[in-house]
Amino acid sequence: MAEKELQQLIDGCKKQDRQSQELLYQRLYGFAMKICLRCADNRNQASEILNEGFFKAFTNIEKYNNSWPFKAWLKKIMYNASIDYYRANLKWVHMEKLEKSDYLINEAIVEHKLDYEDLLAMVQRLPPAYRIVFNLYAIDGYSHEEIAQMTGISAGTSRSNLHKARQKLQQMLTGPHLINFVADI
Amino acid sequence: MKNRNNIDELFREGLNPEKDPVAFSQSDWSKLAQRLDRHDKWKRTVFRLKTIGGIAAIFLLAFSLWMIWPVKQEPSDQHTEVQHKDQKTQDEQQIHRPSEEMKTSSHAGSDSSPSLAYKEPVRELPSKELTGRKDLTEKPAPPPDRTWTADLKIREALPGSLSIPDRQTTSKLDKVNSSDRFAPSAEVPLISSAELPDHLITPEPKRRHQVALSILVAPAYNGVNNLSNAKTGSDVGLLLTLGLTKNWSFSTGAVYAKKLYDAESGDYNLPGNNGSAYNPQSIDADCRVLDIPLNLNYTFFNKGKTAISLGTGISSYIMLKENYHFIYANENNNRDLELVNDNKHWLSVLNLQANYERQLNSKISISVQPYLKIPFNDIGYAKVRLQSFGMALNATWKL
Repeated sequence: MAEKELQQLIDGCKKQDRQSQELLYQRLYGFAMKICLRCADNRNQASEILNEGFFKAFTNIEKYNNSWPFKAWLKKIMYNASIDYYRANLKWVHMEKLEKSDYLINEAIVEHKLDYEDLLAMVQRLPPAYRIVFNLYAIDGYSHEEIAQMTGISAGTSRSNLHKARQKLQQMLTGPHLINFVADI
Repeated sequence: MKNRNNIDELFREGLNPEKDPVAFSQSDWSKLAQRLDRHDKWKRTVFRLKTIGGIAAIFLLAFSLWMIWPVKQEPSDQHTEVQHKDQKTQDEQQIHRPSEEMKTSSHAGSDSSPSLAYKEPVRELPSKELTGRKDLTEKPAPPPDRTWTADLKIREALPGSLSIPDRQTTSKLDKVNSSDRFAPSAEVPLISSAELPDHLITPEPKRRHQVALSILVAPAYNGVNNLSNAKTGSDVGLLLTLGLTKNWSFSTGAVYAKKLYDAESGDYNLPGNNGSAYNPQSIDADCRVLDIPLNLNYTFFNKGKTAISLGTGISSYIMLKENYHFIYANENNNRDLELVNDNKHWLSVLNLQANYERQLNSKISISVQPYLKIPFNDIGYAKVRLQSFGMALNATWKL
């Protein structure tokens, strides 16, 4: 979407114009849904989180300023909506000592070219606390300090939950069904 | 086999496809549009209510000021005294008139007009005096000012057969002497309160009604731990007051409070806070609270139209809506949080108030009420000691 068109839609949304809101929703639906699918358990919950995020964006659009990109602002809102959605179910793990690991995976798995659906399914199987930290750190590149600010946990807790998330994903990737599948190649 | 790729890279590349994985869903938009419509409708309703409430509060204040503005009025006892004096003067004039007529007549007679003879003077006494009892059951209409002086003048004016008996003699009578039309009866009081005209009856002090309904509006300062950094909010609500005894009353109701406040680091305690150095520097909060008070009030001054009371009690806070803006050192990390009906604090706030009430009429009164609210526990998602100080303006209808 062109920058000029985006700015026009944002201006329309600031005037609470429903048509501008619908067009902006359509234009950024895919971008926002990618985030919400990674954070949610399934498609239905992802839709709820997405709509919650857009609702907050439209009702607080006057707080957006042009000092940073709109997509980055919207991404943060979507992550906050995910955190709020699962707030009651976020069970943070805190480990004093983390085992050192490179979390390397077998190249055979990489070459198998696991598609988007497969990888998404694995992430969705993670507990919400691990899933959110993994998404923020590994997928979107936030630091542990930034994750701590967003979630209200400490940087150490963030590291612990990331470690657990990676362990679980590694188990999923090297699980019996996948090893058999790789062996067939 | 080489193990060269790590998990992060695998998922980062795999979960960021170039093409959108999910097609646009019109039903998702429909749901959001309906929610936005409801939100806009709610905002319009709140705006209208605020406008109406503001206009009503202005009218109420203007009406109250107009009602209590001092207006010059003649006291009722002075009015009564003037009436008595008028009646007395009228009586004296009528008494003297026969004397004058008598003099006129005698003077006329001395004019050597043989046709003129002494005529019995026409006694024009006040009608009340002349109206005697037709029977024993009819009570005499008492003169408005039956004093000894008036009696004396009346006695002097009347012929001896119609003279009014002395009070002393009269008071010893057990029965009414039917021939003496003006003798008062010892059994029937001369004047009873039922016969007195309204302006002579001293009204009994009216007792305060047992149940009253009040509307209150109040600006309020809200702050955390102390009110030095307080922000201004507003309260509006309905209260029901039940009189228990002459001085004690109980009140409860529902007050919608808009509580705005700022909290600095150290004032709040966010969930999941493990003493992290990366907590927000400050929080900007906008909370809409339903305050349900249970208060006892003691009226220690109640004179005329003014009453002053002190009260205390406990409130419950239902956090209808909490909006927080978390402010970090790096403003790019600032975030917002909205919670709806997430926190309830039953019997968690101490109320202290004083009340100055002015009665406008038998049904309506207005009052000014400074109040202070101090929580026992932490309030809201941010878990702060939210204190409030306000000045309520109440309009009360006694039911």
